[in-house]
Amino acid sequence: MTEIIIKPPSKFVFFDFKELSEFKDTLFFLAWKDIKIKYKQALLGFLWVILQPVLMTAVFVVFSIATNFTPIESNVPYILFVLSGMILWNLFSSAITQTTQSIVSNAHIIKKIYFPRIFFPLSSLLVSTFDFLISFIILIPFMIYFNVYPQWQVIFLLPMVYLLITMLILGIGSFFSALNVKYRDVKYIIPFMVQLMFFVSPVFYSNHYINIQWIKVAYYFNPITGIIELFRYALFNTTINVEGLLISSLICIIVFVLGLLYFRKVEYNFADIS
Amino acid sequence: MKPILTVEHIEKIYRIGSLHNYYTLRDGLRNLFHIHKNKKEYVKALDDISFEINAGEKVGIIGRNGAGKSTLLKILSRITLPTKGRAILRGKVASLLEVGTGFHGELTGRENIYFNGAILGMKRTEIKRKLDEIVAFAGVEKFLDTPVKHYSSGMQLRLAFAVAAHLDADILLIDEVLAVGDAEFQKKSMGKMDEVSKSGRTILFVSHNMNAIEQFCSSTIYLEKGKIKLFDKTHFVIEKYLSEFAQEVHVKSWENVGGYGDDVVRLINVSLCNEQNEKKYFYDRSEKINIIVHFTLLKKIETYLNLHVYSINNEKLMVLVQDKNEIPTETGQYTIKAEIPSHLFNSGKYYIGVAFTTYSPYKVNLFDEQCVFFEITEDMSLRNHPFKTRLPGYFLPEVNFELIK
Repeated sequence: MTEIIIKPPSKFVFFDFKELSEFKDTLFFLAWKDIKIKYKQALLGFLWVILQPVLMTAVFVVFSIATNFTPIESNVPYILFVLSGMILWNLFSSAITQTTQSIVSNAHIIKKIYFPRIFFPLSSLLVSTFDFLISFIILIPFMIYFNVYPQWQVIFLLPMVYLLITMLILGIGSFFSALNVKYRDVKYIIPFMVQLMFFVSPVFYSNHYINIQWIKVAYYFNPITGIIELFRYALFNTTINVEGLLISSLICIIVFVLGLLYFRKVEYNFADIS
Repeated sequence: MKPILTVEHIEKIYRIGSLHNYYTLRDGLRNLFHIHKNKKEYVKALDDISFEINAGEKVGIIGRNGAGKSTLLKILSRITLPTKGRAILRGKVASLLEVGTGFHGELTGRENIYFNGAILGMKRTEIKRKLDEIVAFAGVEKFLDTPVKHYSSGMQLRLAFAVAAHLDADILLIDEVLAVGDAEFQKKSMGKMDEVSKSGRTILFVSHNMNAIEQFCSSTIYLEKGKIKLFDKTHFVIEKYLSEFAQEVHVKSWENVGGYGDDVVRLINVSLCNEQNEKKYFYDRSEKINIIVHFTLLKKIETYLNLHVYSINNEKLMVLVQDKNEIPTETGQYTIKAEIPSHLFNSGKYYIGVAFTTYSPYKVNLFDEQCVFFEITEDMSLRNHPFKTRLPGYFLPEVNFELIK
């Protein structure tokens, strides 16, 4: 027989994995509902998910043609370079925006129903992942057109990319979703932070064009940098800065652990102050 | 056998004193530098609550607003944690604090059943198995694949309740959900509750509806100011509660606390009196009752006074809405007098809730549900019929019976 003991918040308890698996259908339907609603409300539904990175890529490509300057040093066509970066970037930025809001925007559920609170950021991540998988499809025709094919290692490199970006998203997302309950200022800080990370990352240019040393350092301490480089390495077999990847991975792990710890520490408070 | 639910010395403290319940960075910085303009205030919502419930028992929880009923259920359903003490639940728990949490208008009836069931803790297979039963209970077979935004509010409610009523659990925590829907549906849901309660499940049931409590619960907890005042056989507890509930409050004033309400309208005082302006609690059936509402209008916004009349069993008998022509248009202090005709109520105890509502956009500016109380008395010997006792019911208007051959 299940026995539940309810007591005041203790100093620290890690996640109860047995409980998480008991509630797994809840998590599935949380994500399922958001996906359903999203695709029901937007007329073009799936098309938007594909169009977004394509349009953004078009902007950078047109800009590159107009200025007659391509800010990469790579054997990959600029279109593929930007499109791949943009697709992965979209996963990151939309997931961060969604996860950060996930607790506050579900306050009405939090005040009335109990299930593990981590499901809110987690389901936001699943929704963004779903969009990512759809938008990923658009890469394929471009790769065929430019005759760029991945090597067999892609089979385990792509899951690694996803694992790293998931840790990063969950770390940042759960931390800020919890902080957002207490300080609504978070809502204003996030877009700025995300924007900043975009410009200090290899989404549309490569590191060869950075002349200032401290920006180069910031570039590699931006955890998304290593992940995007790994993504391109997996797909196009481009060169990769291994030290950069290690730094990114380490930061991802640290962010992941700290973010979840903070979330865990304050989640009991959500129903009272959200 | 161990009791299915054990509650030991539970205490819950909330922080109050701020207008909004979230902080801004500014507050955080202020706390960081220990600049406290006003000391934090704390309120004890629950204070040393201990009790045990055995498997299969149906226990009611009653008490005035703010007595801690909902907080207790929230703790037992793990929505919030206690500050002190502990509770042990030996079995699967399902809590129903609100009907239709998470319902979404864009989703179809079927989709909402799955989503709502899932967040209430049902497994996918379980929902699938019960789908037909849920749909039949709600009576929405024809509209199962229509988005619920096209449902009537009654249909939405039926569907939401149907999902909740099919939860499988050893312990059910229910908060006032039967107080919704039309009379027919209430009857149906009461029937379902009855069926559930006979199936041997343990139920903890918060309600203002004494009839429902009396019908389902063998014993009842009476909470007052966060403490258990009484935990005994239901009829005994209800009797005690009702006798204390009807305090003879016929004048209520917020004069010393700057009024009660929001930034549009604030109540100053409310009182009951007869035609001779005699403020009192007891009224004879032949007397008119005047409700005098004194308030301040702070903004030039059309806000309507609503008076909600309840029986002492917390049944809403009627809502009286102020006439449009009598709405003040300028800010300032006003007094409204509402006159309830004589020979309307049967003898008994009643109370009035006072609200101000803005209609476009819809907003309740203030609502004091249990504002002023009155009791109708009657000299039975004056009645011209052989029943010299009180007739049942709340209304007893003068109806002319005419014998026509």
